[in-house]
Amino acid sequence: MSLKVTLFGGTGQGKTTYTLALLYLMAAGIEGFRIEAEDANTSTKYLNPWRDFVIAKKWPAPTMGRREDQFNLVFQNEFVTDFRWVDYQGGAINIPTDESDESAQLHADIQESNAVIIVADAHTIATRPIIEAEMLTSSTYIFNLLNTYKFKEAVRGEGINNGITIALVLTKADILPDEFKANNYQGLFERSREVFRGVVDFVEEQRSQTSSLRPWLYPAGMIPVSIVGEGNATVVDPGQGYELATVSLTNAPQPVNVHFPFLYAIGNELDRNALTLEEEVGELEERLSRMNRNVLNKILRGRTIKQLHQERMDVAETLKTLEPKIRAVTSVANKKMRSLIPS
Amino acid sequence: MNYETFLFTRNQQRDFTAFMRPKELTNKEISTIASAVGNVNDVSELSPEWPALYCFPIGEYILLLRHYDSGRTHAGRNIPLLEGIAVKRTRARHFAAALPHFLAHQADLLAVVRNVPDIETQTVQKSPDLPWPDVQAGEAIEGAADDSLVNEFVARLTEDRLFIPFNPDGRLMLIAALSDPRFPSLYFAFGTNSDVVARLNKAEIDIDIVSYFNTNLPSLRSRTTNEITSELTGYVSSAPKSRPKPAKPIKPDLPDLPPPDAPAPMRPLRETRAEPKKPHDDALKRYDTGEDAMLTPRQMARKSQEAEQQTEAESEKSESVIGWLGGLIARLLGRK
Repeated sequence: MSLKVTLFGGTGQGKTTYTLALLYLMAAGIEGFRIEAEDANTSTKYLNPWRDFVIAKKWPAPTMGRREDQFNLVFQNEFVTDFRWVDYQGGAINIPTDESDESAQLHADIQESNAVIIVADAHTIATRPIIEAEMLTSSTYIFNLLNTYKFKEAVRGEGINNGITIALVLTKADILPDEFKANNYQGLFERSREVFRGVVDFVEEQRSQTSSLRPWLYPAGMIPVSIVGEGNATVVDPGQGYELATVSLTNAPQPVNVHFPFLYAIGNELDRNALTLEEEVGELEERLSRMNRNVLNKILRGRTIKQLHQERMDVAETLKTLEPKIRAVTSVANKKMRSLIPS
Repeated sequence: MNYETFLFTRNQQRDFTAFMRPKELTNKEISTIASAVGNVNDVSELSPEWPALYCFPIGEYILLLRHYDSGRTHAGRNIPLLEGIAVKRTRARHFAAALPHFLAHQADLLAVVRNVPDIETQTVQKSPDLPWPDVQAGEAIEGAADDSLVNEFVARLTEDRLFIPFNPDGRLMLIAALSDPRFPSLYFAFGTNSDVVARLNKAEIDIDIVSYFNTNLPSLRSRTTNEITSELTGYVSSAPKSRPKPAKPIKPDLPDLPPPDAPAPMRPLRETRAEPKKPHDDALKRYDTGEDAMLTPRQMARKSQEAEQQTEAESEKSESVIGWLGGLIARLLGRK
C-alpha cells in the first residue's frame, strides 16, 4: 500500500523548516518510528540545510518549485507503509495554473493525495486581524483547492468513499503570546478554527446527522508545533502588511510535537483503508450467508461461494497484518491532535 | 541576432516567479530551473559582484544565468535572485563564441533586474527581443591558471567533466575553457552543489564544467562514476583565500580574543544562572489533549453506529412505554 502525503500552505508559514525538522527527527527514529529515504542522497539533501540551521542558526532558504521524494515508514524495524512526500513553495497556492507549473502540479497532487498536511503560522493566526491571517496563511485558497478537488465531488456523490485526512500544523507556537498558550492552547485552537472556517465548516457539516456523507472519511486534526522549542527564538520584528514576523534563533533548536501530525496523517489514512476492508469483509459475509440459505444455490454456484470465501479470507488477512501497524501509529498520534471541529 | 532576458525571484506579494520570461520558455521549464537552483540553501555568500553562474540548454533556449542574494528578505530569510539571458538553440555556435565576453561583463550584461523600476510592483512579462551587444572577440585573459588540465579536458570531454574551484582562479579557468576554439558549446554550473547538478541531470541537462562551493582543486572527474581521473598537480590558488564577498557587513565586529595561553575568563555566576521561567515557558512540552484525544475513522464510525442504535432502542422503548401507558389509561377508564 502506497500513500501520497502533500504538504502545502501559504508562503513563509514554515513548511520547509517543518519538513527538515521532521525528516531529521524521523531519520534517526522517534518513539519507535523511523523513516527511510529511497536512497542515501535523499536524506543528505534534507539533512544538510538542517545542519546549517542548527549550527549556523540560519533559517533554511525558502523553497523554490516543488520537491517529491519517496520514503518508507518503519515501526520497530517493521515496515509500515511507503509514502510519497510532496513539498511546495507557498506561492503555488495563489497563482493560476496557467502561470505556474508548480501550481498546476499542486492541483493534481491534491486530487491524488490520501492525506494533506497544511502548515500555518500560529503567530500570524494569533497576532494579526482574522482577515489578514486568512490571507497570509492562504486559508481561503486552501479551502478553495480542497473544496474543488475533494469536497465538492463528494457532495455530488462522486468518489463518495474517497475522503481525505487533514492535519493542520500550527507552526512557530513557541513565540505565541502567553494568552494563546494558556489552557492547552485553547485560544490558538479557537482562532485557528475561525481562520480555517471553510475547512472546519465543511467537515462539521459532514458530521451532522442529515448528511449523506460519512464524516469519518474526513478526519481532521490540528496541533501546535515548534521547530526551535520554547525560549530558543525571539521575535525581532512582528511584521506588518505582507511582511511576516522576523524571528531570530538564539539557542540550539529543540523541536516539539513535530512528528505527531505526520503520524496522524499516515495512521488515520491506514485506518480509513482498514475501514474499507472491514466493510468489504462484511459485504462478502453477507453475500455468503445469503447463498448458504439456499442449498440449490450452493450446489449450482459452488465455485462462486468458494471464491467468495477465499476473497473474504484474503481481505481478513490483509486487515490482520494492517491492524498492529494502525494501532502503533494512531495510538501515538491521535492522543496529541486536537479536532478541527469544536466539541 | 537577438536575445531575450530571464528574471526569477520573489517579492512581498508574489512567491518565486519568473517575472521576466523568454517568450517560448514553458512553465514546466521554469519549474525545472527553480527546483534545481532551489537546492542551494544559502545564498548569503553570493552577490552581484560574485554570483554563481550557470549556462545550460533547456527547451528552445540556452540560458546564461547568474544567481545571488538579492539583499531583500522575506520572513527573515534572504531572497535569492536568478537573472540572465536566453538565446535560441539554433544560435548555439554564435552564442558559444560570445560567452567569454558575457562572463567578463556579467555585471552589466546579465543585470536584468537593473531595468526593473520597482520589483515590488513588477508583474509577469514576456521578454522583448533585445539586440545582440557589441561582442569583442578574443579578449585577453589575464592570469589564467595552468592550462594543462584544459588541454586534457579537450581529449576527455565525452567521458569527463572539468571541476574547477569556486574562486577567481576558477573563473579564469572557466573563461579560458570557454574561449578555447577546440571545444563545442560547453555548459557549466559555477558556484553550486551536487543536488543542483543532480536535478539538472534528471531533466537531461548535462553539465560539462562544474564548480561546487567546496571544490578546492581543479580536476577531471568521470561523468558516470564521479571519480577523479586527473588532477592539476601543484596547484596553489593565486587568488586571495577568501573569495570576494558582498559589500554589506554581515557580522558585527568580534571582541579581541585572549592570548592562546591565557586562562579562559570565568563567567560571573549571575550570567550562568538560568533565568526565571515565564508562566508558559514549557507550554509546548506540557501540551496535552487529555480527554479530547482524537478518534480514528473506525472509532468514529463505530461511535456513530452505537449512537444510532441507542437512538433506535430509545425510540422503541418510548413507543412501548407510550403503548403501556395507553393500555393502563384504557383499563382505568374501564375500556377493554
